[in-house]
Amino acid sequence: MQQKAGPSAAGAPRKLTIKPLRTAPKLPANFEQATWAKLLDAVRAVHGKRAVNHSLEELYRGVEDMCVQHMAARTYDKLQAECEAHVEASIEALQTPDTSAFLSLVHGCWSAHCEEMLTLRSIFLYLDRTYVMQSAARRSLWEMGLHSFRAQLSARPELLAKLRDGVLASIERERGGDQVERSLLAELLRMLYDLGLYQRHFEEQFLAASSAYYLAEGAAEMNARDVPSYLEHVASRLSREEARVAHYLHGSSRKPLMAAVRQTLLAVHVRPLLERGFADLVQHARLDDLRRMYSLFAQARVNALPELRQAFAAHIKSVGGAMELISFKEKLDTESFEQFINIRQNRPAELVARFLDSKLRAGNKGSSEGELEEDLSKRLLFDKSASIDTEKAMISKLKAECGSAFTSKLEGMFKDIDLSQDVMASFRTSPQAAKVSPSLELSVHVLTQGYWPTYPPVELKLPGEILELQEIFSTYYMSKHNGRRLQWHPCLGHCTLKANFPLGKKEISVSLLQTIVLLLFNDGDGLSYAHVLQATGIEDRELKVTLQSLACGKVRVLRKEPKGREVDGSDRFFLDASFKHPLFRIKINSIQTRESEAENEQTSERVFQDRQYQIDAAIVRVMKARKTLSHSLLMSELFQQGPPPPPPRPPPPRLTSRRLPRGQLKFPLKPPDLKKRIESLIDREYLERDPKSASTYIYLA
Amino acid sequence: MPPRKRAAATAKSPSKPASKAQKKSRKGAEAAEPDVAVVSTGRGPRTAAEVWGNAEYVEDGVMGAAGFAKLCEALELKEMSFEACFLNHLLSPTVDNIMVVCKTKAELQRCMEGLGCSTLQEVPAKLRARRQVIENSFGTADWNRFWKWLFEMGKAIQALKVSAPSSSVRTVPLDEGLQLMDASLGAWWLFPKLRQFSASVHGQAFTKDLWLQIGRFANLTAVGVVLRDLSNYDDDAAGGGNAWPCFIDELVEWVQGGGGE
Repeated sequence: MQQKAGPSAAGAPRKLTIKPLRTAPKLPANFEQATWAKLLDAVRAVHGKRAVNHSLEELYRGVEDMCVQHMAARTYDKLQAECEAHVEASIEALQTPDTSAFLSLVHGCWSAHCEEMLTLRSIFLYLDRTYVMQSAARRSLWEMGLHSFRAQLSARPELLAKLRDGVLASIERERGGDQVERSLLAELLRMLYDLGLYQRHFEEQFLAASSAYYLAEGAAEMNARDVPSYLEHVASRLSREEARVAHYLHGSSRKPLMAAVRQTLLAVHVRPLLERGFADLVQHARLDDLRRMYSLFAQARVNALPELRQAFAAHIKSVGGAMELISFKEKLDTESFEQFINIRQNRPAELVARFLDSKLRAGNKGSSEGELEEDLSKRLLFDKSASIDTEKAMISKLKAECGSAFTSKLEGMFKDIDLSQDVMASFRTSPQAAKVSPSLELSVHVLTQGYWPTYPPVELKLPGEILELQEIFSTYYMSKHNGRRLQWHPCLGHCTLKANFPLGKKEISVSLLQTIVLLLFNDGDGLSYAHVLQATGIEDRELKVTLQSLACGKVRVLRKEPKGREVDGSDRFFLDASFKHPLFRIKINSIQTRESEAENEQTSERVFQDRQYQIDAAIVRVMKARKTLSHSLLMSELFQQGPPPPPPRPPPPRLTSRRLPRGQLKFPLKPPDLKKRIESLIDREYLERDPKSASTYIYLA
Repeated sequence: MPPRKRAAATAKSPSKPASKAQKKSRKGAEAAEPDVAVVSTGRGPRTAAEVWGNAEYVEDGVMGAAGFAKLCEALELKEMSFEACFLNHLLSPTVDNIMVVCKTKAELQRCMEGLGCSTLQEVPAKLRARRQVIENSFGTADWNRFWKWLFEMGKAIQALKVSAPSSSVRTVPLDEGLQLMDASLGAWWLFPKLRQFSASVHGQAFTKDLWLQIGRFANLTAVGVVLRDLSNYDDDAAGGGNAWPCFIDELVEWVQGGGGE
């Protein structure tokens, strides 16, 4: 473009014309070589950490010109080759035998690389922004630098391994209590992460090393420390590992690392921790330690709350055997133990509370062995135990606590169950087992009479199939164990029945009694109560609840006519043709009649016997303090703590039916019970009636 | 003197196998009144000295249970009657050995004088008079003493029965207790109910406290402090103060509920 403009004296309007160039401008012939030479010089200067001879502006323009002149691809290639050669050289330089400074050498190399690449990118910015952006196959300059660095490192696995080992050694030193250069580790790990080598070449080994470290430490510390201090240790370890993640590990390692630590330090030690320390902690109400235990156990992955719960339950059971539950409960109340259990989940708290409560109600040492036995037998026979191991752990605890005489029966029960499994296994391979019809399955528990609670023998008319099964098993068992006597307890049996209802097939899990009743409906429908009674031979009362469970319960496979909640002798029963249920397998609970009124009465009688001593003690306590006290005042002192209210008496109620509020005595009590104890104390000459006023008692020292 | 338990317990037979005639007459005592009358009026002793001189009543210097029984017979006092028991109580106010009713002639004499009698023949009438006074209230001092004595008696009899030291017996068994009560509370309007309640509902032995409280209850109901319908029996004002033994609570409830009707 040219401008032809001359000054004109005349001042006439001037004309501006634009003409094309006469010759197109030409690139100097050696433009590419010269420019590249300049650039190469600069690149080498950067790599060599020398001052660059040309101004950066000049270099930038040179790159721009090259790109404009379509030399970008070649320039890129050359630059890449140059960089690669340099990276190779600098990484090669890391190959020194000296390990102590190795990590900082690597770090130096890396940070130099980053710096160089930044400078180079500034110089070649035009190239980076235009050519590289437009061609998908090319990496950005920064990427290219990373790539070649990675490639060079990966090509030397021994270097990587050395780096990793160095880092791991540092971490281990830090775990052991030494100070290490955290920023250096942070930089190196950051480098690995940026290079994409973090996961494969560091994290895996790091986690493995951590697991190994903490496994060893856990075992050693478990031996060296008591439970509370071990828990403290675990908590501090966990927080220190958190800090480690924050300081120099990559965030993605947090979860697996913490999981590994919890697993190795805690999860594998849950049982010994509970066994060794839990009872102590509860006993001495070390709330902080318990809180720590709870929160540690509650963490994801450890997931030891069920065990904790069981331990708590076991503890209460053993405590129930060993000490006064009343005072124990007081402790719970006042020190808000329940809160600790309540922190997260309501259910265990509720269970424990209910359990405690029921324990308290039945309330005392005398009955607890019997109760334990009953409970355990039910769990074992009906496969309801959550964990056999836990049960065994509990027993060993009880054994330590209460002596082997206390647990011998319980242990015997376990032995029976174990043996039964063996017996069944060998039965299944025996020739007799071949006689069992293929549509039936049989499982038998052979119980040693002395170990188990006594079950009254029951007369039943068993259906032929079941009788046959019993016969087959008896023959087998007798052939193995000559001279033993087998007695079948059908009341303890349970069966799974396959039922074809018009609306679908179901499997029903029921007791043997329910089974016998249901099997009758194979042969007929609309059976009268009398017919069922006669055909099953089940005792009248038992049959009524059995039918009730089938026809009036939650799941009703039978239909009763007339409808009603109770079973009557005149009822008729039909198979419910319209039976529907969302589940394929259904359990129909049987209604318990075992806890008969007589039994209850017996228990409460026994409980009352024990409470008498407590009542006596309370009366004597009050009378000893007061010396002389009228009947009404004594009663109110016993029922309410603190000074009694003035005695405006309510109109004489039926004393026998009125329950007074709980007070000093922690169980519900009727005035006549108290009166009887007072009379007994008078009779035993702890008290006497005031000769002047028969309703006043005098304490006899 | 060898203990004869049956004799002591029920005072039915003499301690010594006396003549057959005597036995016969005693046997007839329950059935045939005239026989008894003959015995008593005919040759009943008149003075203490007469009694003490008669080997039938006094043996080895003391009047034993059997001798006392004979004396009662002679005085026309039925065994286990109020009068017989009361006389026994006067003769041996402390129950240390129930086989010995009266130790000395002087005591017998003092007892007669205490009753205001110059001869033994006057004694039964005096005892009957006493009884009437007592039955008005069941609250006189001599009745209270007698009531306590009866309990001790019951205990001592029970102790003999089971061959245990009397200190180890704390209660009077139901049957013995009712028998003793019959002798003393027979005229109490509530006694038939009490007897029925004890025997058929309560069915337990009597403790000392219960015994004494029954006595007090009899007094309160007899003099009308506790109303006839028993509605106020547990009030402070009526001497209850909520402190009656359970037996009495239950008895009242039972009676009010129409028990024994």
